Amino acid sequence: MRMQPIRIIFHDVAAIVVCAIFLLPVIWAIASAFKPSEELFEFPPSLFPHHPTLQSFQNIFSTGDVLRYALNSFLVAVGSSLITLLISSMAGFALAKYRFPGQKILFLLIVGMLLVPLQVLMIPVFLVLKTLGWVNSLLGIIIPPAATPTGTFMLRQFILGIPDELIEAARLDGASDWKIYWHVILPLSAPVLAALGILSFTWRWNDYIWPLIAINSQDRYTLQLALANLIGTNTVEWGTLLAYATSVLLPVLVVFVIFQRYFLKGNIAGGVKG
Amino acid sequence: MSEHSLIVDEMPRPDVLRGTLKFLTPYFFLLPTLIIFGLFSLFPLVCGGFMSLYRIDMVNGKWLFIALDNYSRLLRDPVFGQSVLNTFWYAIAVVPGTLIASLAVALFLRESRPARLVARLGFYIPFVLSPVVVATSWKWLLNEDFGVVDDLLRVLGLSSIPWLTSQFPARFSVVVTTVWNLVGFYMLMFLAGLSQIRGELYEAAKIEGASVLQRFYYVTLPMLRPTILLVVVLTTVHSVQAFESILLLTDGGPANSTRLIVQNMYDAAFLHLNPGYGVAQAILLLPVILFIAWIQMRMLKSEGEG
Repeated sequence: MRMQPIRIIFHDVAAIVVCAIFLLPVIWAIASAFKPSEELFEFPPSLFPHHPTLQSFQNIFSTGDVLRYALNSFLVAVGSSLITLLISSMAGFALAKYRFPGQKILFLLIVGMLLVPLQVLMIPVFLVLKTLGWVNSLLGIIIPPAATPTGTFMLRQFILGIPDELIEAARLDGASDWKIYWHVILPLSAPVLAALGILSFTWRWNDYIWPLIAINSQDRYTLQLALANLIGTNTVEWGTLLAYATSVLLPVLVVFVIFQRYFLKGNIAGGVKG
Repeated sequence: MSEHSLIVDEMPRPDVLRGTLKFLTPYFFLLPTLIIFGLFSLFPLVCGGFMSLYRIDMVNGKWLFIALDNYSRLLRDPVFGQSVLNTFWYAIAVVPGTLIASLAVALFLRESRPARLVARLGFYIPFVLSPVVVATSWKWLLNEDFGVVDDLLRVLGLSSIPWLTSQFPARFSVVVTTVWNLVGFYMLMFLAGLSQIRGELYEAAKIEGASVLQRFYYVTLPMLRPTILLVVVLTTVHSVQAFESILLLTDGGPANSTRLIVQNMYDAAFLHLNPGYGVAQAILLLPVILFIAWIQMRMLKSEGEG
């Protein structure tokens, strides 16, 4: 209260204004997606369309089998995330609640995978995909990224906090280890599973490098790959590209705004993108 | 009794079985994760070392052993040399750029008032966008014929700049795009670091008559040292492996001026169909990345102890 309120309010307003300017590249792209084509190139340029239209969004459909790409993107994001939830919670359970030889090394090994960037390994990774017959298969972009060190780490940390007594009680009731995992650990981990699921969905929805390596036939394209291929060609109108980019980013933006606290928390916990 | 003892004699067998099962249980739970990491991280790491010693014909699957030929060719390859230099300059610009920008934003949005919490979210948005979306919007903004940035320059009476098609501006644009993309992520790290600084330190400095700048220099900066180090390491890692958005923004051009090492690798393997040659570059890059990773591990460890 010692600072003058006017100064605080000025600072608040400045924060919002600076943030809006910072976001201008995205805002301008989204706003331009709603412009008729003659407005896109008018000089001097204006941020918001005078006569908003959805024409550019309709034009997207003439660039390829967009519904197919959207379905692929959705299958990949959901499928890969579900696998991530399953295998990260299994691994997290093992690392948190068992004592076994090699535990420490395996934990370090998994976390250490954070430091081995896919970008550098993409050529041998392609060879592995080819050997498995996963080139040009959605499996090639669903399975490999599903194991994320961030996910395993998040789940391990959370499961460490689940009291051992609950596991002991279930064991006395004659529950097998799998039953304990499925009926005790999984339900109790719901909050962290939700966080990881949301993060993982956006990671996989946004993935570009995996489809770039693994996919080259059109009917397996994801939205990201299809849009990326259009950018390079110079044959498609800017309005269409911007409408395309807008449609691709909107799901992520909505998820981010609704579940922002998971992202901000995950930022500190994960440290790096998974 | 005798019947029972007969049964007891047979008891150990299921116990041994159960014991083994019990021993194997945690490995079973870890198995899927380990298989995927093994196939797509560990094995490629080892396999890459071998691949770099061969000339590989991907189409016919023929491997020709050429020992260190790929490496000696690399040392004489001017494009590779340039991509190494480009990566170096890119890192030199991106690391301090991201550091300063994200620290400045964090200081600016430090107090938890609603407007600033909203602004924090806004600054984080570029980080959740895909590289493809980032590249599309910046390419639109910067393109030469009707890009918004050039339009604005013309409105101000300045001449337009070929942001993506001339060497120096292209390098500049690529760096700005990267920093813009990363600022929100590191802003949060700095906010976390700032929240650890006790208010009394500032009070004490104020009583001593320290100015705002002095308080920043003598209180904030030293207290943020661990965060600053972490940000430097992480942004360096990021710069060394940068690839996706630059590929889309400039495709390494003009005249290879924004071609970084990873793109050079990618082109060798997937464009010129010479994977061995591409992998050799990865193998040369790997010690650098592992060295940075090692520093990172040490820092995190000392942070955990301290």
